[in-house]
Amino acid sequence: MAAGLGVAAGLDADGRATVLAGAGAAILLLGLGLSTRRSAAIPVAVLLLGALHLIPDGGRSIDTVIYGSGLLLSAELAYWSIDEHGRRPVEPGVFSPRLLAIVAVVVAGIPASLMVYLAAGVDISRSAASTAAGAAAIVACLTLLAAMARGRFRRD
Amino acid sequence: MTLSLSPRLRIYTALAATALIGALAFGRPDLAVLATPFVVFLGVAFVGAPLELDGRLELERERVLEGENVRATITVQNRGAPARVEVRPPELERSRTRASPIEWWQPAGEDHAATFELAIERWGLLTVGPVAVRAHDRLAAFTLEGALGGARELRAYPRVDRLQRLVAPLRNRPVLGSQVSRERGEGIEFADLRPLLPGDRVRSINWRASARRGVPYVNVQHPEHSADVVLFLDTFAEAERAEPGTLDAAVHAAAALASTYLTRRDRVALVSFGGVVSWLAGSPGTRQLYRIVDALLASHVKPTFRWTDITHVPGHLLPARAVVLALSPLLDERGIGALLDLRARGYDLIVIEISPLALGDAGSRGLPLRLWRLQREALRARFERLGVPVARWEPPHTDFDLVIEEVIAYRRHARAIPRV
Repeated sequence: MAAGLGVAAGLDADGRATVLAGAGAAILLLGLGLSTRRSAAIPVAVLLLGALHLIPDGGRSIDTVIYGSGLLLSAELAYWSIDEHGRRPVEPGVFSPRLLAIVAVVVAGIPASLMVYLAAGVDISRSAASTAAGAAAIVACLTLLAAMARGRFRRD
Repeated sequence: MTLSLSPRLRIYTALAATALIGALAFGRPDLAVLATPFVVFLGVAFVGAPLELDGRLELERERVLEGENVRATITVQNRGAPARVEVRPPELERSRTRASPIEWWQPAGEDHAATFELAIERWGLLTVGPVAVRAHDRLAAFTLEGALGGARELRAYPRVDRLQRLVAPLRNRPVLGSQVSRERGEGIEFADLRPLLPGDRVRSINWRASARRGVPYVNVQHPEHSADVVLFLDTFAEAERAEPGTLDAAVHAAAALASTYLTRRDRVALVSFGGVVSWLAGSPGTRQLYRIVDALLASHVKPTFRWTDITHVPGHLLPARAVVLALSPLLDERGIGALLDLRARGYDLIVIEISPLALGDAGSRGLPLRLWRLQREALRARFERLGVPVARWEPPHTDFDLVIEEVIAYRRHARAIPRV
């Protein structure tokens, strides 16, 4: 999955060789992380793959909608692979719920990303007020997530 | 149960926050688009029913024999969100289990039972459980970990071997039994001839001897009596490197001795003499064997500095005619002192030394070990000077029957002076 993302990033870019080299480095990092079971390598590889998609392009692209979900899928599969390492044989039907849930979230991420993409296309002049509104939206989003997480712990 | 958040969710939050702030700071909406699936993932992970598990642990039976297997069933009730549940085998003190953890997917509101086969490798009052359980939600975003099912008590009885021979006491109790007494009276085993006395039965007249001597002679027999046996378990200290330790060996030996003596209709008492002194009054019969084995289950070494001597044992437990079979590693001065005290009080004492050397590196040439061996030799010699046989048993290298044979041989040639 990560290799596919790397190749996709390389094909679109102007400096194809540089981007492919970067993608190779990200995949190598991910491979090392998986083989040594160090999950710290995964976010670095995800960041690198994300940057490779964005930096050479410089503009707004519809591919990003799929690319973001692809990054999430890569990260989830990588984390899952590390989670499963060393586990004993399990009863049938243990893996499918997680796989289905990941696929469902990844698929649900595509229309959500599309909405953000379309919203980004609305022509709003950059001003202090719009920046403040954007910052407030980010803060609100993170606060909401934090509150939901805290709610889970309070219930348990 | 403890609920924890997957570390990757924090990483996703950080990645999404960085991308969103970057999008705002650099005017790059693509960054926000890339971050959106991660935000959706976080939202989905945080929404939904919490994980909640309950469970109970059940044992197939509460009494087993050492070396047998017992099935433990943990029933997990899922009262929260659907979860992937991983159950580890129940904890079993001082025993090992070959069972592996089991994992399954458990929908909400359903019960699921997992069965483990536990190999009971050691006798004792064992505590089985609780069971370590770990559950993840669908996205493995939250993990619920903890112990379920509580603890159950399992009575694992020691293996009771039957001995080929037993040490005969110097004096028996005047109750019918299976041991040929040294005394003379009515029985089966011929003892001697004596002239007829008033009151003798006619059928006891030895006609051949009477005809030869010209006066009536009667046969005298050794009567079959039973014995009073006191099993004295020294629980002040034990040597244990790997199982079984000296206490394990002592318990097995005590069970074997009790079982064999009781089949001969002897009266057997048990004294567990250590940090905690406990006893079981002498009694014959099969029921006493069960009582002794039950009492042996509670045997354990409790380290203490309290000085306990033989006066702590009630007098009626130690009948004057009793043979006291002491099972001791001879490691603690208090235990050794109690044995010497028993001998000084005139009891027919036999010491079975459960050698701790069998558990260590017996071949070592180190000076401390050599000195310790010399000390133990001196101690044995001290006992033997008092007429007390000290038979060294090195389990599992030596058979316990051989130890009994050694005691019998010793007593045949160096007879202890009975209590007057």
